[in-house]
Amino acid sequence: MASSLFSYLLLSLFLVCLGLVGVLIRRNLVIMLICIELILNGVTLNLLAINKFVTGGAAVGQVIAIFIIALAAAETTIALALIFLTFRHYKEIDSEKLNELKG
Amino acid sequence: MTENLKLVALAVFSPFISLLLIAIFTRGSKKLSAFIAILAILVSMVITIVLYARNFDGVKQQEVYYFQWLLTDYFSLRFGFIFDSLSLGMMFIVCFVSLLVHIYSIGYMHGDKGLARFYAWLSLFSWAMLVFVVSPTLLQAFFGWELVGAASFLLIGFWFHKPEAAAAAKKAFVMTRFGDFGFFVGLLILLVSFGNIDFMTLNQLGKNLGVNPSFITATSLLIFMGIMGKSAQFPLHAWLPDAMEGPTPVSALIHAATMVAAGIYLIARAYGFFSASPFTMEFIAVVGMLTSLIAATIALVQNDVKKVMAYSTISQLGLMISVLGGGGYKAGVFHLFTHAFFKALLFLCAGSLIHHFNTNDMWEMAEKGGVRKMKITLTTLIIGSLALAGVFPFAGFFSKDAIIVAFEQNGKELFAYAVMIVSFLTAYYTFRMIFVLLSPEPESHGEHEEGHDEHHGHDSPANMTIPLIMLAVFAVFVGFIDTPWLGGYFDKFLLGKEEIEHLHWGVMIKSTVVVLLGIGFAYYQFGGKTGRREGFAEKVGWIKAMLVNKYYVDDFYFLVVRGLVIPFATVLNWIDRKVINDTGINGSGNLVLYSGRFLSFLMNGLLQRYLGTSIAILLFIVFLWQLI
Amino acid sequence: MLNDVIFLIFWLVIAVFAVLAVFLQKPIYNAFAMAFSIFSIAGMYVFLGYEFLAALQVLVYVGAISVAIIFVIMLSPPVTVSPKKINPYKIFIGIVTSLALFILIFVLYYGKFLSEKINLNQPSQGVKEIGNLLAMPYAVPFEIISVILLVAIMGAIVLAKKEE
Repeated sequence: MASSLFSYLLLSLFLVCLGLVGVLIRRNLVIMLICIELILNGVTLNLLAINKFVTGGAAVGQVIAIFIIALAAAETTIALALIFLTFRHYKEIDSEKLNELKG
Repeated sequence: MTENLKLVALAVFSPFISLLLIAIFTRGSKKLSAFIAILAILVSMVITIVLYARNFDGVKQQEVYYFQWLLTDYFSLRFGFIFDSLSLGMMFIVCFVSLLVHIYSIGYMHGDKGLARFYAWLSLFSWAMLVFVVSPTLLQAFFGWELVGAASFLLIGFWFHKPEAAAAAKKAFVMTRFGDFGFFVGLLILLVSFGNIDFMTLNQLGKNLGVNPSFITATSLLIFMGIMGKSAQFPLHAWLPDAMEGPTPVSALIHAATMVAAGIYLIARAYGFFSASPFTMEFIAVVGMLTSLIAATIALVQNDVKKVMAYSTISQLGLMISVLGGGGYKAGVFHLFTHAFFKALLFLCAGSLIHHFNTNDMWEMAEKGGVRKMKITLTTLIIGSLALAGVFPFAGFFSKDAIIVAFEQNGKELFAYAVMIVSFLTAYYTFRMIFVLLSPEPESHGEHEEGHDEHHGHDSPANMTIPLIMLAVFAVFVGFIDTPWLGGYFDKFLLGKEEIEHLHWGVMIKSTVVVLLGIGFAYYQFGGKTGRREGFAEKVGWIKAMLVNKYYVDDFYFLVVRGLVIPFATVLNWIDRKVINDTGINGSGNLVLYSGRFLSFLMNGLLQRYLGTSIAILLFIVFLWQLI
Repeated sequence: MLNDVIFLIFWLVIAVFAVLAVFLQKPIYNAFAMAFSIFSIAGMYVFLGYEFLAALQVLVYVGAISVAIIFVIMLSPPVTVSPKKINPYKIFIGIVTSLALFILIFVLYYGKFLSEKINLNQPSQGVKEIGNLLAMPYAVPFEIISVILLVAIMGAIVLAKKEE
């Protein structure tokens, strides 16, 4: 099992789809953010598994994974700050109630 | 690491520890901060003396210690320590002058509110300078270089509430940064091309046949750009006179003895590299000599004692750089050593005067009277001036002769004559200052203002005069180390040369005559009771105007800024406002606004519905695409 | 064999905690579940021979991102999203889209890989090669990422600062 490419791909696809479900139906902004992290992790896992499969673990794929991780960190920072701001502004982090397009 | 290198490391980091201690713990206490800083630099000084005693005849074998900072397949970056005669000598100067300045500042800065800050920054400077001096790689040198620049910025602007000081600090920073830009580009090119930038590698480049000579010329010129900024060479010299807005001890330490000499030290350190390119050497020699002449002539008409000294510093730095470019390695380094002592001495004397009179203007000092009563300050000032002018047997005499001899031996007679002219001008403007200060006091002055005598009748406190005396001792005697009377000690120490160079009587006599002429001329115009108090340079109107305006270099910079940069910026501003902003930004904004209004009936503000719908559509498109 | 058992355990841990991270009701539980899941993904990287990335994953995701999320949850006063009305259109579109994605990718792409094997005995390239890539060929992207991180930090501070 550990040497089967498919097991990794299946897991990553599962993570991405699960994250997508979460992003689309959970209403709490923080949980939506958590789901986005899951999607990113699924994608990274996919990339790295394919990298191992195709090149036997070349450094290039790892470097790109590092970039993904760094970008994820940046994205989380901003997203959390925005969530925090939203909360302070509206006393609300329910995505369904944040439907004013102005102000 | 050898014993020597361990000691070097200790000496380097002692001021750094002091900086941390002051910054973290003792900011509140002036006395404790001063004590820590002085103790730290004293430790460095003692270690340097120990090192010197262990290597009295010079360091035979250069000792280097590296540690790896970053290693890749393409390049390696290393830090470390180097120990040889050159770095030992420079360490001695830095520690010695720094220690004396630390002590002197107790008196000079007495009662200043920011004393703890002042000492923290002095420690920062000493540490940075030592890091620079002991660096075995160009990168570490660059780090030290920028750190001393930062320390210089902080110390010039120490009295930042004075607008001139803040402006001067900014000017110094920007101008040296302009040069450092070239330095950094050169450094990067070298790093990428050769994979490491240790001085050992650089100094071997010329012998490496695979290296294109024009490549060396280009990179060495880029690095020389940094030196022009830091060592105040024309046309980047304009910051140094303004830097005199800082406290005088700082001027003595940073802008006379050590930091501005960093450029000369760098040339000496990478001498193999620079001398591999004949064009660069010519360029260095010409720029140095030009700077020297320009600064010496400007100094003729300055009235501020510190400005006189600042221009004389630029002039002497130009001499050193020029002689290094002319092939006189030993002469340049030797002049660097002697100059550090007597120029620091002169600045500290000036500080003593300024502290006493509360003015920088020498005419005002003379008018207030009482210079003659400050016996120690006056004596040491005269010693320093004699050394600067180059009168036998003071330090400057021997080093200036070494410069002339070096030029003559390398077949550059023109430069040798130029040095003579500079030395005439130097003697003239130095003694112009002395004679103005010594001018007879107005008879009636003391009687009308009673109680003034108490203020005028004493010298500066001991913690200011003792450094003066120590520096004066060096200014008198340090020149002899290059003479056969001491067995050509300096040659042996720096170069490991055994044979003793004989004295060049012809040059000595010529230069003495020139210097005495200069002093005599100054006496004729400014001295005694008969002097007319007007220099020869001031008689011709347009020359005077040109010199007072410092050859219009500053004006040129302003002109460039006003005439080119600002109009260009105005045009850009207009384009930005009218073209980009009104039609571009606002136009596109309005476009979005109106189309948004049109489409807004589709929008319900539910984030997830948007997202879900768009992903569904995307998937549908992918699905269709796959079908086709 | 033992390898496979451990792999399976990791696989299941990731999957189960990912499900928990999405469907638990209190944000703090979700955050912890996500941390566990991501921690186990680092285990997957070890299986693939990416030790450095595994360490980085733990460091950044578990050490920084999860902690930041938990911080925000704890700093904000308790907020309960009332489970009032359920929006059927949204749930429908969410589940359908995800399922569609899953099936689409599965059928179109992953079906070809069903029996492919990864050679796990061959060691992956290590820190040295990564460092070399980051130092020269990828130096510019690396610097850009650094700038992005810096900007993100500054932006976060500016956004979250209380305006007086």
